[in-house]
Amino acid sequence: MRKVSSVLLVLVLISFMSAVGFAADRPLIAFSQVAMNHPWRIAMTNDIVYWAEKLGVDLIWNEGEADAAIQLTKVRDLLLQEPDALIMSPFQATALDPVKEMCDEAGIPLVTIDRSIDSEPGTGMYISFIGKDNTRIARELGEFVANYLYELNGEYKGNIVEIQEAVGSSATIERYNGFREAIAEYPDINIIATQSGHGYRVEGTKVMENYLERFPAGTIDIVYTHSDEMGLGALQAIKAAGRTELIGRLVTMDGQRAAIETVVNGEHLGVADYAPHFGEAAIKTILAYLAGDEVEPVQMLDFNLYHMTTPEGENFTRNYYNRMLAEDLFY
Amino acid sequence: MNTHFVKFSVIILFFALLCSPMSARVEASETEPEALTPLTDFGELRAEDMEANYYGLVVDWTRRLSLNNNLQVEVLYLDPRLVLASEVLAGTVAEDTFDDYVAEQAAAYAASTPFVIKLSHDTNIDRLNLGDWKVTLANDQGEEQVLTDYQGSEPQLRTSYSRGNFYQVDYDVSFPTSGYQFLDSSTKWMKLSFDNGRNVYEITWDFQPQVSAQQSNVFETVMKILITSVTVLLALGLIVTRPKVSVLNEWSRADR
Repeated sequence: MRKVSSVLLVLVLISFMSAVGFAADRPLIAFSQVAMNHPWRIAMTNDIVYWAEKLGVDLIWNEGEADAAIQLTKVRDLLLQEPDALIMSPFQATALDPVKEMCDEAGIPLVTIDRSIDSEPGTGMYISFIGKDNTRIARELGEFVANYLYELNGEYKGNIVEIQEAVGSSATIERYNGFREAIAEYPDINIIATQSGHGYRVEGTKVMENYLERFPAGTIDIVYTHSDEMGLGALQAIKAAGRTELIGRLVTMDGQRAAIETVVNGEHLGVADYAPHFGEAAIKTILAYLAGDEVEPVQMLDFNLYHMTTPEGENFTRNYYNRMLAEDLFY
Repeated sequence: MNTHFVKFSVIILFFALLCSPMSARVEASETEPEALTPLTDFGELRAEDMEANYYGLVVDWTRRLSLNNNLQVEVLYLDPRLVLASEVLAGTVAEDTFDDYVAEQAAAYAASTPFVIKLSHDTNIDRLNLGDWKVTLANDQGEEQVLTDYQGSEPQLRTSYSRGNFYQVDYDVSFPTSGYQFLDSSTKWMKLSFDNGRNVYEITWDFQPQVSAQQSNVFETVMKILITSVTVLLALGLIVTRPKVSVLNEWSRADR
């Protein structure tokens, strides 16, 4: 009887050890998402889940419900599970900065995606920030708008209304500044109103309704929104108000399928791509770091501008839109 | 008063006659859908603009269907233009050998009809075996070919907007023919059926939507002509039956 018990004990120990050994083969990565109430955020999470599976890592994740304090608490919950690394898309740069200190103390590498925190990437356990250069994208979008206004009016002249992203986020600040940097060269191109739509479609509609009441037909040339969702909301308001002169005068950022479709249909003037595909770069960065390789502290991913104002732009945009349909892509 | 009556009727007549043919013409051009037409004359193959057309052709020639137990099938008919577009994208078609390429394609389509069949399932890769199905290609001319020749990839993890993550196996398949093209200019439709012994699922490519669209345009035009004629007759009736000046004068005297 004692022999049988010993054999069983050994077997249990072996299976336990092999389970631990097996688990140790797959790194555990934690991911903290801002919120899951926006298609862009849902697509970002899906992308990370996809690349985690594809690259053979285990993933745990939660969301901060679009609240910095909640996200901080949720990050603490993730760190208590002792992951091999943390990926965070922070709600706000300053409010989520303590996460860097938490990771330093726990010895857990931190990668931020999309938005940065106040701390310098490449210091302590904050190994990398992976984003797209919001400032550069907004600058190119501003340049595109200036050139369009020149084609339209024969001079660099026009009035722009702006709908901003969530107040205080690094993306909002960069999209705000980059666009202004581009049009600063043209004194007769003016931003006549700016207000936050908090990134949501319904808020975009409300802000645009307000603009349409304040500015009669002929006084707005371009509507610039920091995200597609708000752009689509603004388009709804424009259509509902019968302000047809503004159809085809919206420029937005993100690059979701519905927005690209409005470019193809002529309802949007242009969309700058800021697709939420960070999963591959983030997980590969972590795997490289865990393998002892050096990683770039700041990584900027490429972007495209979709429009139909030139034959090349039209071909490129149509082809990309058809690819989205063919491959059932949202971004 | 009488003059106003005539003027009013003439204005109605004028607008009715002016508007009806214009609106009929606008409607006809707006509602006319593009027909899905397979390329059957290889002499029409052109390499120009093919690079930009690739994904558009994929969208045009792809059909999707849910089979049993969450198994999904996506079928892409490899129209010769689509094959050419993919070759142009890959940079494997040269201008100086283009005639040879066209001749090769014509011979290939006379020998077999190619498709890509993609079987996908959210979790279970064991269900992605095309061999579990009897796949038959048929057309309106009564021809049928059963699939025997196919090559499948390894199951691959994919992601998409509407489905999230799933596993997929891509099969390159071709249905052998007897030295002639399965599709010709008179083919009205073709379909693929998937039979697992319990259920049969069908995917159809219809090549004649324009015929029904033309019929519906004919109906709209007839209705418009009818409505216009009635309006014209009413206007004429108003003019013919207008009260005479003497009667109007009598009425106005009586009113006073």
